[in-house]
Amino acid sequence: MKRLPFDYAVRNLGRSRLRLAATIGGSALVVLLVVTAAAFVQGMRRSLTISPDSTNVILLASGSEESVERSQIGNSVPSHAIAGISGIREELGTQFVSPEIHMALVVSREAGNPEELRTVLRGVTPTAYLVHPQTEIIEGRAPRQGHDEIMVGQLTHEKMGISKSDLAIGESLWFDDRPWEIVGHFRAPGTVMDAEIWMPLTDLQMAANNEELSCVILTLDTAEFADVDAWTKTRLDLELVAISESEYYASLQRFYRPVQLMVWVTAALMALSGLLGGLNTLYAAFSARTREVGMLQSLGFPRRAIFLSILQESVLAASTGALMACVFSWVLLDGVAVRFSMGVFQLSVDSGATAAGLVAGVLTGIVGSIPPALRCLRLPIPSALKAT
Amino acid sequence: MHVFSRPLIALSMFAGVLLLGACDSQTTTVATPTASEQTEKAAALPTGLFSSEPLAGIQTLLNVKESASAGDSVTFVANIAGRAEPFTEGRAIMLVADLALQLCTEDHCATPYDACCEPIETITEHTATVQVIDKQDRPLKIGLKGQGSLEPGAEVQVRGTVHQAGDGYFVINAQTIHVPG
Repeated sequence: MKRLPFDYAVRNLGRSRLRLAATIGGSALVVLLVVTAAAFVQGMRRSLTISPDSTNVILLASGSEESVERSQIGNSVPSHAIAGISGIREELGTQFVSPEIHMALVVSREAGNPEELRTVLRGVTPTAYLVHPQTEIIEGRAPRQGHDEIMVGQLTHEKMGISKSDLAIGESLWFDDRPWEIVGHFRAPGTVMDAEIWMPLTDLQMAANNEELSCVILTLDTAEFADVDAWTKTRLDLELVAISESEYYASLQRFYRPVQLMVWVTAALMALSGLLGGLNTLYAAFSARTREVGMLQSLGFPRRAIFLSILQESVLAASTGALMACVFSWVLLDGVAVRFSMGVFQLSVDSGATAAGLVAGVLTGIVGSIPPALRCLRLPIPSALKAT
Repeated sequence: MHVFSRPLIALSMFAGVLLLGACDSQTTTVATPTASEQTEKAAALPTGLFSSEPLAGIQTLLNVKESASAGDSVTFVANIAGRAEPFTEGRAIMLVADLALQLCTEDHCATPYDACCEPIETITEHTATVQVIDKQDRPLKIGLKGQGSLEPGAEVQVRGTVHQAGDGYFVINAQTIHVPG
């Protein structure tokens, strides 16, 4: 088959800078929407995913499997668990058993300030750092018990909708009618803990006037999940259920799946409108070149060769737009914090999102070029040559 | 025009490289069970655990809980109920509830046997644990769900020995189980 040189397609792009800009812009818009949707879904998924190597098991109140915050279990559960379950991980005589309270509270920056800053507080003991190894104190220190001290996550300010400086070390947050001094910053990347406030367990119990726990998290060593589940079923008096940490977060992911689906559908609809806009531009671009197509055919170039050249032209422009959109999203979108009911997650423009965007860009170029190319090539040569 | 085309060609080639680079090279390996895991999975329930004949001398579970203490032989009837998942996967343990415990009859309830309409204290009061143990007094490493028609919500007759009876918990080592047809 006699082919048109690749340069021909490339040079054609420069015939109208405005149309080229519109084609690139349309493609960039489609790709940007796809990358944003993928980054949103991926970011949310990451924040609700725990390492597949996690051997943590959560003990919750029976009937509260779907929400740790709703769960209330007895203060004695940790000691019963240590005594009743053999094979819990242990280091230097300390069992990896973390009693915790998870509580959504309204706090303020000053006394009497009517502002309502919603946040999630977690009351912990030092063993929390053992069962949550992804947690790292990056500034300051851990809060001391009985000193009205707290420690904030690196994304807590995003969750509360305030500036980062408001939660600097030395600042205070008010709840339970008194100030709580911020003495440390921590991070737990890619988890919901990143947007929480941590404080000593007993301090939170006293502040909330609640002697019970929300859950106990334990790390298994030689024990299996079935051993813990069996133990909860023999200690019916404790009214517990055991759920593996990975399963708990998987259930949260299932809960948020409709939101992720809605994001994809919205992005698809908006991308479709961008695609139609690009299609319109290409229609206009190729309609004006009907005579040129007729001329190429009369010079002996088969329709397939001309179609291929048009395809190259369109894919080249769309790929350029896709590339620009990917760079734009890397620079401006990656890491952007998004608030949701569980806390905060960061948009994640990773390799998957970039690949999805680039594929969408190439597809836009292919799909966008087919209808106008077919329209140009449909005409017989004499009619095409006479076209105005 | 040639000057204009070169950056575009370079950009498109870069896009191609990115596309290839974006593909994840991670491979997934499928873990094969070890010999010890296979041996554990082969753990079997004792022959004669399931009886096709109804058991004699049946009491209600509540009666048994009130009167029996550790070591006593008991025979009772109950429903497999008390939790959304009354069985433990991989262990011969299940929860049973006295027939008097009102199971959730709401139309939308997918797991009526968890008795979610009742207060947790009532559920605890009406439930007990049935286990099948090995020679070391540990539950066998085999799930009971699906064995001998044992399913959540099913009525069962159990004969066994009280293993533990405490304040709020009651564990029976089952020797015979009958599931009425």
